[in-house]
Amino acid sequence: MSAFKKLAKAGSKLLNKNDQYSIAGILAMGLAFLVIYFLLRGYAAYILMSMIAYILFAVSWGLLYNLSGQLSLGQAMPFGLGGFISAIVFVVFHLNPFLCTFIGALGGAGVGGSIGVSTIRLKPAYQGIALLVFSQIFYWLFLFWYGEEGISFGIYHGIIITSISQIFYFGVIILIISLLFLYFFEVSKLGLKFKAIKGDPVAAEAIGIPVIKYKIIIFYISSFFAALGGTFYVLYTFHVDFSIFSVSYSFFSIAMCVVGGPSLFGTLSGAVLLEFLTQALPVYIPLAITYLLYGIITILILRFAPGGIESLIKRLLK
Amino acid sequence: MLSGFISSIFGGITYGLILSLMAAGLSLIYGIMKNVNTSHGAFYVIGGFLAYLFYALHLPLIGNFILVVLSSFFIGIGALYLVIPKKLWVTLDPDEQNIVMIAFLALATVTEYILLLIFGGASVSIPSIFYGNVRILGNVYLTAQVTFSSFLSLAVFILLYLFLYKTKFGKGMRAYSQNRELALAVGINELTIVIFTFGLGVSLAALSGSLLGSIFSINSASGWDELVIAFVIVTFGGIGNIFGSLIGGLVFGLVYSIVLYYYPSYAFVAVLLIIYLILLIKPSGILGKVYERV
Repeated sequence: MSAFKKLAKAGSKLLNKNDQYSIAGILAMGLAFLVIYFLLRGYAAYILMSMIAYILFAVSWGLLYNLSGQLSLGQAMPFGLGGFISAIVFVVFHLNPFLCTFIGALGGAGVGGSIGVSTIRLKPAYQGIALLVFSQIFYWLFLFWYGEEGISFGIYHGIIITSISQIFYFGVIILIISLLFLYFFEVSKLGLKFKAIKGDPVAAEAIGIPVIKYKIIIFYISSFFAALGGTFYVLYTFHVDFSIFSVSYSFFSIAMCVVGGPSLFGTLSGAVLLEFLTQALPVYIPLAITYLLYGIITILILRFAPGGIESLIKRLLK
Repeated sequence: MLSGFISSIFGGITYGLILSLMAAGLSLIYGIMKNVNTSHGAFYVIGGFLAYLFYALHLPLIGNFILVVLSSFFIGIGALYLVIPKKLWVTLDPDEQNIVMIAFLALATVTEYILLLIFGGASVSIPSIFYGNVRILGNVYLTAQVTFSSFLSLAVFILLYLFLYKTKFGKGMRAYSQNRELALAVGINELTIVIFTFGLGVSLAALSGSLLGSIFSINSASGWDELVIAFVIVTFGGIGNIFGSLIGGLVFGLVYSIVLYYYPSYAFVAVLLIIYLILLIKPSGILGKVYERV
């Protein structure tokens, strides 16, 4: 018992109050996912898994934009690349699907990150569209290579490769690990340096931060999480096709971040909220109207509450 | 074989001429507002669908296009007022530019789904005004509609030139894009210029949509490719300069239709990659420094 107390004491020295709350929050969220899964199963599991994929996706965009000030209008590129690479690796080599997920994430990070890095020296306005250009290029390439039907891979020799619950636990684990990593990345000294870069690149360069090097690092990290989201998205649907590169997907990640707010938890809440709406609203109204609402909500938030839901809540609490 | 090559060259020129109208619009907006209009593709599609609607009126000759240009002019201005906060209309701050780009992207998404709800997901082709072919030389033919469209876009380009270089308002626009403070100091009205430029830019996109919509077809999601094309043309020719977009458009059209003739499925990707390589070598665009801005 005393050993445990010592450990807790050491922990509280290492982590300040904010850290403790945040870690507790992330773990509580994972726990909530599990509880909902045990209570409801069925379609709820599907909604939760799509939430996991979109949280990773949205967080990856937020990482790029909120930490280093780089705008990507083609975040669907690493997302889709990760998905396609994992599916291709599985179809060709028949490895363990969870291993394929990591290969896909690394591959997506490598390719997507490298393409992103080639745009770093462009002006912000150009950079966003240059990435949009690349996501469109992959949209067409994968349409030619794999056709409209894409790749479906859930069944191998007549047997479903994994069970839904395995995928779900796997998803919750990667979500918690990713969020913890991102949280500590954001509050670390490195994260502060990134915030300096976002605030004023010239001043950051002047105090000795190698801006270009850091922008390259963040591009690879962001692409990794986008690709991880993409591979998980592909893993639970057992299917991937060219439409994963469409601009709508890029827009989802942006909308979730903008609606949620700039911090990690803002983005998280935005992703959970919008993904829940995407799954729940089509029961009552057509899907097209749901996407229409997305756009309208994003415009309204940008005009009237640029800090997102996060700032609205803070305003209410005051 | 040779006639196929020659007709792909003519096809490329006509396609490039029409596309460069749209690119000129994007370029004008960037030159004045310093913002990239990421909803430009949406206005292309709006123009196409407006032309499709107005066709039912059976107006004589270019009446249809005049209606498209006028209505998209006002739609564009309305959208600008609704979507973008007034203080962000003209901005040089990268963060604010990013916010404007996101807002325009949201606008484009909204437009896409509104059009999807109204017109459905299927592609729509606007009926041609002219039917039949024009013989250029030997075995090379162009359809009458294509010939008409390219002459119309050439005429619009000449009008645009006359407007920008010979009228007082156009000179004001150029002055404003070159030196904002000085232009304001000599009493140029900022609000009028910005609003007018945005309307003009998006109506050029709409015009090019209504022209290309009867040569190809148009659907609610086709704006994204057009946005990418317009951006590529504009960057290629040097952003903020309309001659750059004319030449960029012609180069794009030529390369596209020649590649299309030999490797049909990779044409779009190949053009984008070629132009990307050119940009890596010369980031300011081919005419970046040669011509003055706007």
